[in-house]
Amino acid sequence: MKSTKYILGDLDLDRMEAIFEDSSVPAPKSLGEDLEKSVDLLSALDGEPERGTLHWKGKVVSPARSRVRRLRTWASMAAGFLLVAGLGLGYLLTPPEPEDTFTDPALAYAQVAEVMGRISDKVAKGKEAAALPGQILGDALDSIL
Amino acid sequence: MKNTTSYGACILAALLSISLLFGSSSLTLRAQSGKSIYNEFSDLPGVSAVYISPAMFRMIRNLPELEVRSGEDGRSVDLSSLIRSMKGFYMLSTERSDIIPSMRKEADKIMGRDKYELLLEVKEDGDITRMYTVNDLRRDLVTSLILMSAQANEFTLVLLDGEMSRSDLEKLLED
Repeated sequence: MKSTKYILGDLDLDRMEAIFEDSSVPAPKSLGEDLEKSVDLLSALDGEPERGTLHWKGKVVSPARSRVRRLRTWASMAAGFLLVAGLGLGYLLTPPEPEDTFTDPALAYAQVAEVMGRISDKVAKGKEAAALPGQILGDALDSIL
Repeated sequence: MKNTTSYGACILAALLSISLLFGSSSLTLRAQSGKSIYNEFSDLPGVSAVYISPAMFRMIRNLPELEVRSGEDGRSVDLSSLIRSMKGFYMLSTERSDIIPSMRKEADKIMGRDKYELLLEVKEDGDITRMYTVNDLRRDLVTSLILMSAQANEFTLVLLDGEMSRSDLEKLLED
């Protein structure tokens, strides 16, 4: 009963019957179709429209619940897309693993050892250079004293 | 009220996703600096490149101990314990004058980061040698070592990753 009130405004069943029996006024040809549309719309709303829903000529216009649902859906989709995009970007930005230059561990060891030897040489040169001022100063002091 | 709370939660999820996007990207870029410079230059003609993976270093650990002769005076240094603590090795060397500036620029970017400390710098007859380390002070380990050697017509970059004991490294540097 409540749904018919929303469809037809202030009409009640008795008045509806009187109108139906009054055959002098032809029913609009699209009446059946309009009624079906209204019933479908109310079914989608799951019963009574909620607060904040707009009505005009007995029809429901821009239900608030649907708008919030759409926003929630879009926000969820955006969050999911950003998450997947972030993971994908991280994967794409990760440089590929290079291929080993040596297949024989002994050769690899020899290469590393050679490089470490060169590092040791460089450090030794640095130490010699660092020791030079001290040596010069020491020689000067010896000559003075 | 319920719908407003759900909507706010979705917005928060979106913001967290954006943060994850940029966070993962930045972490990815920082973590792969040695690998990225190797990948950039290793395939270029005129560039000598050597890469030894963590898997290869695991195989090296099974080798018998070797004493290595190094240096011009033929002095011997035992590097086995140090090499066994390594996990990755990248070396790039080139004599191409057109590549050296860009390679040097990329190396400077890596070494300019906060975590790298300059261990030593040797300048001799126009040649510059710099050594940088990344230290794990809590465990007293050196987790990364970079050697950059720039000469008039040659540039060499060596990057070592691992968990090297400071005492082993000091022994290498002293011997």
